[in-house]
Amino acid sequence: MPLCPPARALLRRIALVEPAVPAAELDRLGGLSRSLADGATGPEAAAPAFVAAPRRIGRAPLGAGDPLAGPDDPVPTAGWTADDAARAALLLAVADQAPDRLAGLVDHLYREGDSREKRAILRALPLLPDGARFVELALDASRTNETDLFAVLATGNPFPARHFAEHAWNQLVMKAALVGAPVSRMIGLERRANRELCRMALDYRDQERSAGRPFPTDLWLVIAPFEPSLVPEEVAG
Amino acid sequence: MKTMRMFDPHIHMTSRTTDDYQRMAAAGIAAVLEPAFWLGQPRTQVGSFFDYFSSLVGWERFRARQFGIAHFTTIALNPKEANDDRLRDDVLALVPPFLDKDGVLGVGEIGYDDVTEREEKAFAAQLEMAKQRRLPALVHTPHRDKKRGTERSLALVREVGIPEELVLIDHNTEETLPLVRATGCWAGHSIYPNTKMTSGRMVALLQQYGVERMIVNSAADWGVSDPLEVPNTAGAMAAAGFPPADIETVVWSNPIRFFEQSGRLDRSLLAPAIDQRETFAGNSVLRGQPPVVRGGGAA
Repeated sequence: MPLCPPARALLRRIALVEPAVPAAELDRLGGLSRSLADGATGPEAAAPAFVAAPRRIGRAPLGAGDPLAGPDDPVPTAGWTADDAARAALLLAVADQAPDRLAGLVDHLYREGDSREKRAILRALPLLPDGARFVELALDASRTNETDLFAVLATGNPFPARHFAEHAWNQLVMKAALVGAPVSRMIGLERRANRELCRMALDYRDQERSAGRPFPTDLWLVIAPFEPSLVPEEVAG
Repeated sequence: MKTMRMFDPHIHMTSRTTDDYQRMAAAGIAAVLEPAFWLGQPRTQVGSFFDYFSSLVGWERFRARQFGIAHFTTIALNPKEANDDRLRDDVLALVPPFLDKDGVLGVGEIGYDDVTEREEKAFAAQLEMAKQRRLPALVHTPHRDKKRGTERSLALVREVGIPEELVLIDHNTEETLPLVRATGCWAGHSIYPNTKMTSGRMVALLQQYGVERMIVNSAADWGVSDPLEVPNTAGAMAAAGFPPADIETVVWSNPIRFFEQSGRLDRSLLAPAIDQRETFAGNSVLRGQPPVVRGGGAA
């Protein structure tokens, strides 16, 4: 059974930046998904290939390239590495050939994953079909204290804007501002603008003013749609 | 000059070294309260909570005593991990037996973090546990949407009907303090670099609001934080001209008065004698050094 087109596209991107990886390694990813589809193995059987991806496939940056085609949104790959792509390809192959095993596998890999494995899953989420079923996992990730892991979910990733309810979205935006992740790089910021988020940002401005601390400039982006007159001139440009 | 005795009523010593304990003792800290919280990343097993709670009433208490510091705790499921449906109810069931233990002076940290319905469920259930046992409750206020989170916390306190004097609302800022002062709750302030409160701003708040029902802590944990912020604040108060009696009220008497409401804070336990010849389950804090032995003193 051939690999599905999005997984093939990822493997082509890997081959460009990791030319030394034997084709057989990449084929193994498809082979695993087939054995899952046969029902011969549980989701844990895919874990070794997923876990070993940095060693077997490599860690090279994926480099510039067109966004990938997700089921709901285009998925930019800025910041992705070859192992992220291999892990996403594995999940996509499972989604294609053993769809009823996907959710269990993703949950298993995320719960047992180290930080880099979790990062790969968060990057792959907007590529997977029926994304709403992964909202709980993404909400769990949004509570992480690892700021680089948090940034992979919050910025450059279309998943939260597509699937988070308003309250969770607002908390994500405010946390991005608090931990120093670039709010301006959050996908869907304009589409998901809302009055409550504007109110939260203005309360935060008051708090930071009282504390004598600077207010993150890009939080004005969520205030501007509702309170344009409050935006300082130097920010509004 | 005799060093003033101090009580840091919110510090996560599990994340701190023995060097910290030595510096804290030298700076005058005679007692700490370590509230149960999370550990930087979510736990996935109920058993992890059991072992954590056990360490707060076991090894950590022993370790503090080796440096002449009395160690107390509050036990709770924290708001962050209250969001995990796989754990919440099982951990909530673990809490009550710990609340009966000696040295557990209340329920905490409870409260809101993301301000979700799940957090509210755990918050309300644990406020009820405190109310039933007439135990103090230590309430964490959120980093994000702090003012609204504090308003909702105070509303829930009223709704559950726990006496306000049994509630300590923590991590206050200039924005939230007026809300707390309008109630009978106590107001905690975490002097934590960059994100929470500074000792300079704290002095200004004490000048404005006075010292009654005002509490200062370091909230030191595994992040960039300073276990000497209570002594630092005492120094800043002295430099600003506060009389020693007011300083002592804030850094010693107030936390004792608040947690004494548990009926379990025996003043003879404060500033324990040091005997580093002791071991805990066969473990010593010493690694070949000669043990320090020193008499203690009651409050």
